[in-house]
Amino acid sequence: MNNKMVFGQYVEGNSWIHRLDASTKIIVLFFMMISLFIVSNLYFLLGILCFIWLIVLTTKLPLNQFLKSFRAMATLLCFTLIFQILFNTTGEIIHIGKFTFSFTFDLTILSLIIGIITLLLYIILGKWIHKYRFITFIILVLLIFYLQTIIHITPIIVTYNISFHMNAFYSASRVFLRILSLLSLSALLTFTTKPIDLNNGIETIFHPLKFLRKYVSIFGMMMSIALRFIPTLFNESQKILKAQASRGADFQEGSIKQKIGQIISLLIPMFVISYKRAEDLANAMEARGYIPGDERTKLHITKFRITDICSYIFLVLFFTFVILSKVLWGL
Amino acid sequence: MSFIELQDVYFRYTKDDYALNGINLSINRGEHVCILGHNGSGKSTLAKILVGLIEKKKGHIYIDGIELDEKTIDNIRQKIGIVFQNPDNQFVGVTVEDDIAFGLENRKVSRDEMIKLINQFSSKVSMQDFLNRNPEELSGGEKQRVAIAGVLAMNPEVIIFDEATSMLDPKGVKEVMEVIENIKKEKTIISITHNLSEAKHCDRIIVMNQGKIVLDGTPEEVFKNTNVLIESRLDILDSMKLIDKVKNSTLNINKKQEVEDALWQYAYHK
Ligand SMILES: Nc1ncnc2c1ncn2[C@@H]1O[C@H](COP(=O)(O)OP(=O)(O)O)[C@@H](O)[C@H]1O
Ligand SMILES: [Mg+2]
Repeated sequence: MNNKMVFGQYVEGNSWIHRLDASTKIIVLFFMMISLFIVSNLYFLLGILCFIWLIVLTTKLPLNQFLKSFRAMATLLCFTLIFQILFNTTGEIIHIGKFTFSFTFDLTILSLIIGIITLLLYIILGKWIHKYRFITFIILVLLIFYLQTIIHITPIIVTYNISFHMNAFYSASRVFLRILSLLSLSALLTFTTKPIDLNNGIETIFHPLKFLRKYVSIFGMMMSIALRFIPTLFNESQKILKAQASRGADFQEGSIKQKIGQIISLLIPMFVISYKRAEDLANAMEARGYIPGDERTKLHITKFRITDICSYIFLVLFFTFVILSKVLWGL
Repeated sequence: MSFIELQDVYFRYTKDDYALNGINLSINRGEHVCILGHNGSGKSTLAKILVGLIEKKKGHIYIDGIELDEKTIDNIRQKIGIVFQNPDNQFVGVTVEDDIAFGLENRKVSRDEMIKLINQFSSKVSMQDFLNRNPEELSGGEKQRVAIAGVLAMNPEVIIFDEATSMLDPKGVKEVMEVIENIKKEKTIISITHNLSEAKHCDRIIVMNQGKIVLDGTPEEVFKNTNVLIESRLDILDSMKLIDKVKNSTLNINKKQEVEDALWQYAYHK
């Protein structure tokens, strides 16, 4: 088994972003994210995105891994774009030269039948095309629409009128740029910061808030213990899975009912073991003088370097500029 | 009064059964005491009472002249540290240095002092090159050594080892035993152990059975009481004879010490 398993997205590195203090990173990113929603000018947004990516390049992170982190959000992004384009009908219609982006579709009996057949085919064949399901789906939908524009056979059931408006384009681009920037920022944070440092950073940020300090310290301890024990529990669950597998349990196949049974056969021993661990851990912590919520000193403290100070200066300048541009020029 | 003094201490988890059934015990400063007893004889309960994890139902406990109760518990915890059995479940920090720091952080030791102590005690258990490792990257023996460093850094006067080597492989046992041997001169040590070759080297052995102390004396004295040992389900006599034979044999056995240790182990677990 791979013992060096890393949880979270942290990628080992030594760039200046890696070395920034976690609390600096969190605060700067937080205000950058806020400014993304203050700015509405397309070019400004594009500028910010380019700037973020420039910073990403300086960290020497493996880019494919960085891009992979967007994959989960790709579907959501596509849907937002499609909805924006279909339902935002203000502003002038987009045109390039004489060609205007406005189409009329007739839904005819024939195309409806073709559509239904393709859908059925998709459902049946979908079992075999695991990987590109979503793309296949989009292509099929587009094909059906295309069919309708070239085949004109009566009787017509409905006539659609789809046109692409300038405002739809703008707002779609805005959403696109914002989401992409947000994802890049959060990826930048999680790729360059160890989970435990993130935890410490959050604790540092909330530390000045006296009335919250007790809860923050308890929460911080909970998080750090979770981070400490997730790999241990993960290894343990692998062991149990292997033990169950060696007794003939098959976790890949089986009906839903069997799967639930298998999951329970994993969860119950895990629960019992975790409970035993928790009891031991509580004893060990108490014996070493831990009192929940009590003030503690810290081994890891904020190490302010010159880059941290520069980052804060940049943040102040950047944020002032964003606010000013909003107030003065409405960007 | 001796350094650690228990007078008529009773404890029970459930209504019907006393896990500690009238313990009278005094331990002097600097002694190395081993506690033997079959599973469920109340050894861990005794350890937990001493470090204040559970509270006695009856009797008096004095450590360094101070009676152990709710008010003095924080004070007494500074004098007494404990290393538990499971290496994984007592590793609190995300890395070795975090774990050694844990107790110091609780005690509000300043950061500079902490770093000094971490360096000092990680070297003492030969873990100074592992400070940034996660527990996942350490062997059981290494984790136990880190736990010992964490306890030592808090500078207690007594350290209790509750079967601290029983989950380790032979190499781990050896490493941890070396560390214990090393700190013996400076600390009072109470070892709850299954390792008879360790028990042999104790100043004093206490045998527990059903929540009571049934034997208390030097190893020679204790191992003479064969009947009590059998009653306490520490059935080690046959093997002890065998061990004597191995020791005095003129046979050509390469690793006499290892054979002897193995026999001790076997004797204990029988
Ligand atoms: N948390 C607990 N709750 C209830 N009973 C317990 C608990 N821990 C131990 N016991 C019982 O107390 C007795 C002594 O246990 P313990 O001190 O752990 O023994 P040892 O460490 O010698 O194996 C046993 O009978 C055990 O079942
Ligand atoms: Mg025990």
